[in-house]
Amino acid sequence: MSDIADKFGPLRKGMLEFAVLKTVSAGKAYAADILKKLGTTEFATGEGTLYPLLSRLRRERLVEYEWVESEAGPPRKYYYLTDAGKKQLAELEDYWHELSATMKKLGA
Amino acid sequence: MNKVTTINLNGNAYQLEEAGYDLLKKYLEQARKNLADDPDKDEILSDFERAIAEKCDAYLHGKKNVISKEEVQKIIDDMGPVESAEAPDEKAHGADESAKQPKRLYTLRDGAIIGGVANGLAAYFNIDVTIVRLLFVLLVFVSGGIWIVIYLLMMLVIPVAETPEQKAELRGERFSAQDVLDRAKKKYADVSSKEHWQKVADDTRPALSGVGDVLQKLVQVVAVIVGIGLAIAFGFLTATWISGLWWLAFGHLHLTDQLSTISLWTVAIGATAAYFIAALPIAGLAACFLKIGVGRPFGRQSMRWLAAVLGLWVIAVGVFAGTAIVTSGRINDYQSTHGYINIDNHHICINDNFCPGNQEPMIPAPMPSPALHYRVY
Repeated sequence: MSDIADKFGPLRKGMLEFAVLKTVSAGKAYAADILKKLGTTEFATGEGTLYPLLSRLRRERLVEYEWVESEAGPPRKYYYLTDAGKKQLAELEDYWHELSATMKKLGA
Repeated sequence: MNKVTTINLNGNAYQLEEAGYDLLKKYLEQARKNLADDPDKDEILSDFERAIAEKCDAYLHGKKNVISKEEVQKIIDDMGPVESAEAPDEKAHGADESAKQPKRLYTLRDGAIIGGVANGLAAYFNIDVTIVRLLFVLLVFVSGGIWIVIYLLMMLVIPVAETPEQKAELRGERFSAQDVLDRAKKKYADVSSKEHWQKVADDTRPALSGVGDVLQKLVQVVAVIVGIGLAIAFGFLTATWISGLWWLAFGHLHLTDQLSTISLWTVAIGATAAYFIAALPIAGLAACFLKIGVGRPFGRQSMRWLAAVLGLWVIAVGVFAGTAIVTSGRINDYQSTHGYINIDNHHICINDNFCPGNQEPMIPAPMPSPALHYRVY
């Protein structure tokens, strides 16, 4: 089974941006929440990967964050999708569906 | 007993075992290095600090106020290695989002037959490469072969598109994640309609494979042969030049009267300039052909050599013209007052009025004085 997971390693890596956008689309998300949500999936990752990715997505104006005061400790960054981010996510989903449709068609 | 170090994370003091502190320091240093190209490096690093602080908080409670080395290691493992998410297209993004990337001409080696010049031009003007190739072949015949030299020059001068950004630049496309996505989608659409399968397969084939590969080999062999031929010609010219100088120095050139004012130095310099004028292009072409033959790319260094050779050639032309004017002036003066020159015990008649006998017709002299007619007697 892990052999199969290895084969899809590069694909999962390439899809991480998609997975993160999708996670953030569910509502304002704190980085630790995103990690927790991804942690139970094939896209489990750490801050070391997520933070640079989020910062790039923000530079590409796909996500934005706002500071939210927390009861325990310092304020936290909460990320949300911009309009461009929503559009990008929709395109990525379309493409993903096209890809899986192709995979089905190839076997037919 | 372990030594403890206090650090400041996100405005709060944390106590770490020294070994743990070293681990954390190493991790953050590596992170800084990996993010060297990231414009938001500092912000990401402070995000890391904040995350580390939060994770430390989870280990601290009541009496426990020091983070152990093992706990630091766990935190670091949890964070995972720091990978830059930097797409190589960042420059194109941001303020000038809508600005169209200016086109730049490159040679494109992907699927090229010789040097990718036709390929590059086709991509630049967005036309079918076959049309450009046919045009090139036509131009070779129309120009009587000169087009081959022009082609080689273009191959030399136009840079090679190596990175995906350069290839995008060649087509005047902006290179960004969005564009890659769009292109991937377009290609996907192409693939969906069956008749495009073959075409896409051709496009993605590595450079110079199959037929192109054989042609490339053939071109290289021909280039080596031509290069060696030119190098031999260069050798002959050099030998001629050296023996000419030898003859000037030790031969018997007797110049009399006004002609004796033409110093042998002038003749030697003129001959040397003539040698450079003829030999430099031959040497340059020989080097080019041999370079193509061994499949070495033309880089910036080659361009510097080309510039140096060209400069030297122009100087040689100037020097030769100067010596030719001086010498022919003297010879014309001499011709009107004298009948012959003595060179290496040969009498050369240059004015019929002064020479004995009129048996043979006069023939025009070679450079530098074609106006002069002479006969050996």
